Amino acid sequence: MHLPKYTARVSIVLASLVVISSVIYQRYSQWEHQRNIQNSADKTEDFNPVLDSKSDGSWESSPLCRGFYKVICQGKEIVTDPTGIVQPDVRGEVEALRLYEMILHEHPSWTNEQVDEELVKRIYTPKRKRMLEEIFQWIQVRMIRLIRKQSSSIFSAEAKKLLVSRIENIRLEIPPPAQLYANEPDLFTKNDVYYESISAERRIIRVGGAYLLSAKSWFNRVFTIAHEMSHSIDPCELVNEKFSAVGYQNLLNCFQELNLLKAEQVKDRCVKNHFLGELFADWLATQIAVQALEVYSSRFKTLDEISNSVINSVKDLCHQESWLTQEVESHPPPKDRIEKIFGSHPGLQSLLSCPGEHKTIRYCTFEGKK
Amino acid sequence: MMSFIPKLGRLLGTICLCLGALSSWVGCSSTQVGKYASQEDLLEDYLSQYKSTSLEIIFDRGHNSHRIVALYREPLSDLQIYRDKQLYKSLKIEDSKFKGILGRSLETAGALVRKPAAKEVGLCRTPFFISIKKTNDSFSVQGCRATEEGLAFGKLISEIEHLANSIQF
Repeated sequence: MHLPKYTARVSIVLASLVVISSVIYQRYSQWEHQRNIQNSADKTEDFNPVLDSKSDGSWESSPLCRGFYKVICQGKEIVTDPTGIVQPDVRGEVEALRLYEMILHEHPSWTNEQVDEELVKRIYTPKRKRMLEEIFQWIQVRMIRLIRKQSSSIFSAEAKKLLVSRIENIRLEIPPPAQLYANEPDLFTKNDVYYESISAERRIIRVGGAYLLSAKSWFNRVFTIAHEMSHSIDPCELVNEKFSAVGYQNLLNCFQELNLLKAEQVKDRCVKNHFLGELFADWLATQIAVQALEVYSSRFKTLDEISNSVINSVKDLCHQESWLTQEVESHPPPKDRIEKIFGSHPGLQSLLSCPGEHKTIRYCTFEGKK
Repeated sequence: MMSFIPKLGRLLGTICLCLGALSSWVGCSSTQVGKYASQEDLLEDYLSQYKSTSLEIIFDRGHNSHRIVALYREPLSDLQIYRDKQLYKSLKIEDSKFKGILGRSLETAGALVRKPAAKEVGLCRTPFFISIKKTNDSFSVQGCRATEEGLAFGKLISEIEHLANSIQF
């Protein structure tokens, strides 16, 4: 395990080359096609979502209207939206490893810490970091607005204060320095994005380096980060706060009515798993993601652009597999997450020009079923 | 996960896993720790019998799941790295490397038994699980990366991954 430093690094360079080649060969037979997609995605990293443009608004309905899950999870592996693409997780991890290998090749005498620091600089570039920070703030403002705009019968002034302060308290921890992720140096080359309460005062969101390389779509980043931020106020996180609000009760009742939540999962109160929290985070992230799509809507030029943006918002929810049983049970099944929680949002149905169906679909809000 | 817990330790393992499901994650061992004078003795015993030993590490972070399995084999041992239930890398490692990984895993797991990694606030969203089995005995702990012990676990994973990246030649 403790190979001499130089030998280890040379080996890492060679091994990484083989690993990367084999993974690319096996999993990406349409390499040229993806490179073209990649090029188009790279161009969009400068993208600013809040710019005006015109749409003619006269398109037909999207294929998504006939089934979100099927189109998103069983359709094309990669689609391009106006802001970028979402590639399979493994692709970002391979890219991150390739960067690591390049650094080793360029600086064979560097220590692991120096290599990590350089890797972080190359992955978490100022531009990418700024984009994440902007997305984070964009979501934060909208989440707070969503809470504050609820009537006093839904959230008391005290409840609003608590929820808003928890959202305001979240810190987005993005390196450099590499030291910021000292307890998980493996995160630089992983696709993981997560929320964690470190202490009563410290709530953080961390973003794996590979995620920045695999998910370049602004819409995916909005949904992903919004989901994680939602955990700061999810019912499971609030269990010890003795928090109660009509708005949350309405939401839970509605989830039960729509068979998204079972009575025993409500009774469980987050002891056996965090299902309630995950369901809530999906729901709240959907409210924010739909706002993101609506903000962008005047810039969409074709129905395909809209559909692809919707697809990319939740493209990475298709697979939900964990070795920890309780983690698997913590998340609603991918089909429910994509179709019932995300896809049935009336704003989304309207945006996709789904033929009148959105008027009859029942959807949960803080005020109950609408 | 239960399939990794041997029959003799199944009851203790179940209790341990249920406790782990609570909001704070606490280190828990399914081995008969009492038969060893100290934790160091336990580690020494496991290391001395490393040829009958296997290691499994699982950690979840956000929505992704990671699993590392090391199995002693002759002439070369197996090191497998999974991601979301898919085999990501399968490698053959030398005896000394297997022993090295096992030793570091035992140290990390041992620290958790001595000082359980209780999370003070909120739920653990970065749980990890280390299970080490040998003939007629097993040793398993779980913890949370957002605790002090998470640092040692992070280093362990980093070392194994460095090894996995360098081992093919």
